[in-house]
Amino acid sequence: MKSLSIAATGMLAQQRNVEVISNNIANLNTVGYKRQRAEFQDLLYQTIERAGALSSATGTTVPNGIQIGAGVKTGSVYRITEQGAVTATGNDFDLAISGRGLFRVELPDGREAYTRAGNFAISSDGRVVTEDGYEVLPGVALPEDVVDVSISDDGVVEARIAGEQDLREIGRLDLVVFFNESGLEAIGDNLLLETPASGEPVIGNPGDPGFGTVLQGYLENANVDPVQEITTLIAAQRAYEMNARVIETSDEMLSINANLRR
Amino acid sequence: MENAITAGLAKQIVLARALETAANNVANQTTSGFKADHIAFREYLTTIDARTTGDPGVSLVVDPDTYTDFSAGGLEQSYRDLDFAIDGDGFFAIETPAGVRYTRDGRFSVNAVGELVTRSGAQVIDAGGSPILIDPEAGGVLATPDGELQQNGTPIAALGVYRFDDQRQLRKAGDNLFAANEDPAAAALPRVRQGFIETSNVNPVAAMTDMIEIMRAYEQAARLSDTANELARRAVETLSATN
Repeated sequence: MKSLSIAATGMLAQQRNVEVISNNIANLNTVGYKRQRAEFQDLLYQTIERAGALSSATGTTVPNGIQIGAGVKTGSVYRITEQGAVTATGNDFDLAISGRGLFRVELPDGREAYTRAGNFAISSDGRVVTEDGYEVLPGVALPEDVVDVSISDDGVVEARIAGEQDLREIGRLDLVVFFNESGLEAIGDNLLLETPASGEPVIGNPGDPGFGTVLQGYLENANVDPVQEITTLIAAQRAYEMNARVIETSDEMLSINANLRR
Repeated sequence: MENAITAGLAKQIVLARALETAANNVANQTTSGFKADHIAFREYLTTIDARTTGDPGVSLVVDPDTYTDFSAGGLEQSYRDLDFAIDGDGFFAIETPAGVRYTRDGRFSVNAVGELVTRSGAQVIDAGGSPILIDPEAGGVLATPDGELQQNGTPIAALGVYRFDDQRQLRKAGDNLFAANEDPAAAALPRVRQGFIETSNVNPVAAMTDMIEIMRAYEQAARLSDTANELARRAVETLSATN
């Protein structure tokens, strides 16, 4: 009985749905996290009798034909890159991006990764690094005796040196955008990698057309809406239950067959 | 006697298929743009006996068609720029390797070269039949209610919304797509909602009650075969016990 396997695809899909929702909820307080959405598509259809087939000797035809679906599949788990809210932290090296763009980060193996999480820090040798100690590109090094650092909307980093009157420009942070930001691959630690689906990175300065601006002293919250996640979770659970009922029904029908001959 | 068994069996075959259709609906209750299928039962009169014996023949049940319920699903707000839902009749047109396909699932995205594509990577085509290109540096995409896409206030393309005079000729092709036998016409006054997705039009409660009905009918059909079988057994016993 095919309905058993059809219902099984439904249960698997809802299981995947719950996994995605639970990951969203678990990352409710992760800086720069972008929520994900499981998206479903119907599976192939088996055409048993084609529309237009003859239905009688007098030439009448079947208007629709029989098409039996094979269930559902998870088409993709899509990252929704809409802007998250920002929270003021007052920390000089907490940066939020308002609008499009990602910070560039150099991984220990030399590759470039991208992130929206701007909770940066200073390494022992005075460089701006991520929480994990990876350098933020293009690389900003603080001189000694820095009193204060200010980062402008367009990414220019200026430092006030002890004993000096004026701010001194010490570097500029840039941003990167992709044609298809949702196509980036997440590797954990709030980092994303380029893929063939994302397109080539386009580097630009914050504030350029098509690029967002940098907010110093703010962090971008996860864009997860807990209420929405919980309602999706309830719907997923009910859908799972109903698929289980289909399996139950199929099983009962099979047992009727098994007991047919007494 | 065989006729009763045949009639019961025909009903069971049809009901098993009806359950498969119901199962597919239940499995796709969270699939965007999905349209529920139903099965139509018909009476099928066997006429073989009528010519020879004058017997009116046995009435069997057959399932000549599944038909798709094209009623609109609900509109759910998704807050995503590239999610579109058609409010009213019509379909988006998608260029696939197998030809143009139609869908109500408007969850699109941009691929690595800036084309508007479906989740499977197939190009979405505009009202004129060509792919839609989006410039990533020109800012967000805004859709007017009639499906025109704009960036920075400049129109870039119009989403193709097509409608069919006869939707019954559409066949499901998987991946939320429909294949058509005849060419559609452009919808006269399309209404496209940006930031919304169309939910599946499967009614879960109806699907559940359908399933209960199917199962009970299946039981009855099995009992019919059972009874016929029992009668045959008794006949054999009774007749063989005469001498």
